[in-house]
Parts: sequence; C-alpha cells; structure tokens
Amino acid sequence: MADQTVTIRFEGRPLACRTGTSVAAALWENGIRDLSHSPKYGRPRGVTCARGQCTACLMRVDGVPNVRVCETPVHEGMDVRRQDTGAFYGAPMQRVLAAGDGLFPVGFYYKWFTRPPFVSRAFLRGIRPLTGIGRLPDRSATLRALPAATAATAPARDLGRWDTVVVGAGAAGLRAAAVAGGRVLLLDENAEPGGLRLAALRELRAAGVLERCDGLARALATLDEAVARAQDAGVTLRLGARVVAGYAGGGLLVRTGSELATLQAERVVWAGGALDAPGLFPGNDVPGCLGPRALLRLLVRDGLVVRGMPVLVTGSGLDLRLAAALLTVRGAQVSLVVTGPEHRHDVAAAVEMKWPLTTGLALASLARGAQGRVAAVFAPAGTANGPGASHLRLEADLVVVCSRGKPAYDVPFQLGAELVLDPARGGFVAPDDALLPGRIGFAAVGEAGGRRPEDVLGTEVTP
Amino acid sequence: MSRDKIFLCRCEDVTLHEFHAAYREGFTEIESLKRYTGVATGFCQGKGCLAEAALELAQLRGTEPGTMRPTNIRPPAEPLTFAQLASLDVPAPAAPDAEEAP
Repeated sequence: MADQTVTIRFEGRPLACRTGTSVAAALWENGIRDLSHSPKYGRPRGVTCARGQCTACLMRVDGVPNVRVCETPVHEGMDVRRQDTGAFYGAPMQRVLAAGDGLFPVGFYYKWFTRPPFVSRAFLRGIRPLTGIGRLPDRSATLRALPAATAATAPARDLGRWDTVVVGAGAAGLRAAAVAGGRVLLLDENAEPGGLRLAALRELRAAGVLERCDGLARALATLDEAVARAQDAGVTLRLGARVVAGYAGGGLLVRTGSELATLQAERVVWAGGALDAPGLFPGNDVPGCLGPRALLRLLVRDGLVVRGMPVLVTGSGLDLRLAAALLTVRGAQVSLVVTGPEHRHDVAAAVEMKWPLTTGLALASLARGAQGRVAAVFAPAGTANGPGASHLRLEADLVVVCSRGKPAYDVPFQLGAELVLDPARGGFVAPDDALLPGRIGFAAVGEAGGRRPEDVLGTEVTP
Repeated sequence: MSRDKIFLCRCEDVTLHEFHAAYREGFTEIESLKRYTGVATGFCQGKGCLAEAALELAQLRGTEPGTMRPTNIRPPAEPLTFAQLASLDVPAPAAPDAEEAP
C-alpha cells in the first residue's frame, strides 16, 4: 500500500504521502506531530481521537478552516496549514492577559464589539486566529465548495422505518442484531462489521502471532461468530454510516461521507462502544499520547507506518495486548509497562512476544522529550506523586495508554435516555432496558452499556 | 514528580487546577461549573471531559456519583455544515401567530 503516493503542501512545503491515508497520518509520517495549539495556553496538540471528535486536529485545508484532518483523506495538491498562532501564547501572554483583567469587568459583554460593523470585522479578523478557530474561508474556497454544497442540498435519503436499529457493529452490536427479531438495521461507521478490532485480529492471525497473546484468539472467534450470526439472522447492514444525532421519538440522523440520511426506529440498541480515556495526569495532552482505539484507527484505517518506531504501550487488558501485538507485526519497537488489573495475561503475552516489560508501576506524567518524542515517567504503584519514590523515565515516539475507556453516551441522551454516572465504568452509562419518550424501546449493550446483549434482548423477543 | 498541567478539557484548555479553584469559589453544580470554566462547551461538546468532570465533582462534593446527571447534549453529535442540514426534509415550523389567528 506504500507504493502509490500523492503530494500535498503543508505550510507551502511539498510532502509525499501514501494514497488513501488521512492527513493526520500523512503528517505524522513526515515528522509533523503538532497539528494545532491549544486556545489558552498555546500547548502543542497532536492527533488524539483519530475520529473527528476532538479539537486537536483542526486545520485549514484548501482554504477552509476547522477541517478535522484525522478523518480527511489526502488528495493530490491539497493545501494544509495550521490555523492558529500558537507561538503567541504561553506564560508571558498569560501574564499580559492577567494584567488586562480590569478591562473586562463583571458584566462585560462580548457583543459590544459587534457594532459598528467595521469594528466587528476588524475584531473578528484579529480574534479568530488567536483563539485557534482560523480565518474565514478563502473566497476561492467558498466558490470551489459551491458545487459540492448544492449537491449536498439534494434531499437527504430516507432509510425508512425499522423495528430495531442497532448502532455499532462490534461484538455486542452484532449479537444484539442477531437476536433482536423483526426488521433489523445494523449501522457502523467502519468499513467492515466487527470493526477495527476484527481487522486487527485477522492481521495478527495472518502473521501467526494470535495464539501467543492471551485472549486474542478467543476475541477473534467471538467476533467471527458474531458476524456470522448477524448474517444468518438476515440483518441489514450499513457500513461507513455514523449516527450523528438522535431525536426524541426514535428519529436518527446518519452520515455517510458528507451525505445525511434519516431513519425512524421503534427500538434503538446502542452498541456505540467506548471512547478513549487516558486519564488525568500531568502532561496528559502531549502530542503522541493515544488511546488504543485511536491507535487502531491510525494503524488499520490509515495504515500508519510505524516500522522501527519506539512505541511504549502502558495500561492493561485485551486492548493493550492487541495494540502491542499489532505494533510488533508492523515492525515497531514495542516496550510495555503493565499497570492494571489483568496483569497476569499481559505478562504472559509479554514473555511470549519478548516485549521488554516493567510491572508494579503507575503512569505519573507525560512530557515532551527529545526530538518531539513523548517522555513518560512512572512511579511505584500507589505512590504516584509521593516524595522520594524511585521513578522510571522512558521515551518513545508514541505512548499508548490502554484503559477500558468510558461509555459513549451522546446519542442515547439525545434520544431521551436517562444516564447514570458510574465510576466503575468511567463515565455516564445509558440504561440497558428502558422505554424512551415516544414509546421507543432502548437498550445499551457492550462497552456502551451494562449486561450482555443476549441477557438484555434474548428473552423479550420471539424471532 | 511533575508539576505540569493536568488537562480536564482539551478543547477549552481547562486544567484540573482551574476546575478545583472554581469549585472553591462556590460553583458546586456541573451546570454552573460548565458555564464558569468552559468545561464541555468546546468543539467536542464534552466527549473528552464531561464524564471526567462529573466524576471529579462527585469526589469534591463527597456525594454519591449515581446522583450526578450530565449537562444537556444537543444534536448533532458532531459538527455538520449548513449545506448538510439544508438537505434534511424537515417541515417548516408554523409561524407563532398563525396558530393564534382564527
């Protein structure tokens, strides 16, 4: 896949990129890790979620500001620029701003700057780059975008009415779809059912390392079986389709590429999985710190080249073993610091795969190291910030922090589900059995919910 | 031991320290903390920080986490263009005075 290349321009400089990859991955392979700077402290930010759901990768592409480059494929002649003035910020500017606090008394109203119009225009021209939201689109970009914009204003497709709509075709979503009964629509934003984990596990099987990591062979069997069961059950599957909004009464808005579609569900099964949640520690915004889900997107979806790259994988669990194994197969130099509860399986895999391994430590902080690398500091578990503890400092190009993540909850909330904060799950959890406004059935399953899909759905439906 | 910032919200650059300071200033509800610190108001609309902020607040207040509710999450869940929204076949809302007129 590395044979064909296109040339993009970054800040006017030509860069060779692999075709079909995302701008963010292409920039990373060309040694550009800082995509933007944060709005207040001007800190460098690099690709973080790789799913177009955070601020870190907003750039100006072909004259259009706020493009999420982690999900935007490269094309020949593409013009990519940073859109903020990050160097302007930092501690000195913070002091200047603090000194000017008196100019903004309680009751200060930002709309004072909107009249007369010429003041507003001048103000916006100055303030937009400073806040990192970029200048307005170029006039030429607006004209170029017109045909696309008018095409998109063709009426959105209506996907019709379904007995059950399952959102997310991971293990839980596939199994839920198989047992739901009636007319079932299964939606997933990835290219294949089973998601990025299934694609990664198949690659590991082909490379012959699957059996060497505890639990991965069983995970592949589970996913393969779930895909087969959903197919046997006659489930309608739509791929590359992301649910971007839910409405009380069971209406869903689905985006495929730039096109929207609407549909109506009598029952929604939310299998939207979990979001990466590396956690709260000093330097948790350093470019190069990723969660396992973002890493899989970059490796599987974008084919990010990591050959010879030092990568530190930390945390614990199946995602840690999957990430470390896939990185190894792709030729990265993997080292492991296992910090969590599934310790035994991780250690067994590390021994089998000959990964350099450290245990008994907890991640204390991240910082920028030499040449844009990430420097990770670990302290003995339980004394992360205690004085006098002996610390371990490691540097790597990527640090993958594998936690179980936090349940995705936005669409369930929009549908009217009542969310409950659960520290054990790391966030807000949607109910696994509820009747929502408009008499819409609802169940959250898998990483996004509570019980196994069979327990939630198997009893109440006659297939 | 690192003295670097701990980021609670990356979109609006809200640190854990600032969140705690706001709590000490008397903003003890997730809704008022959202408005005062900017947590959950950025580009990601809270995907990166709302759960973390709510867990932190439950700990600060010493209350049962199960009593915490999220702030409002309005559709859409990710930014869409006006052209995309214009493609939706939504009936125009009736003018307010049309309903009252006989």
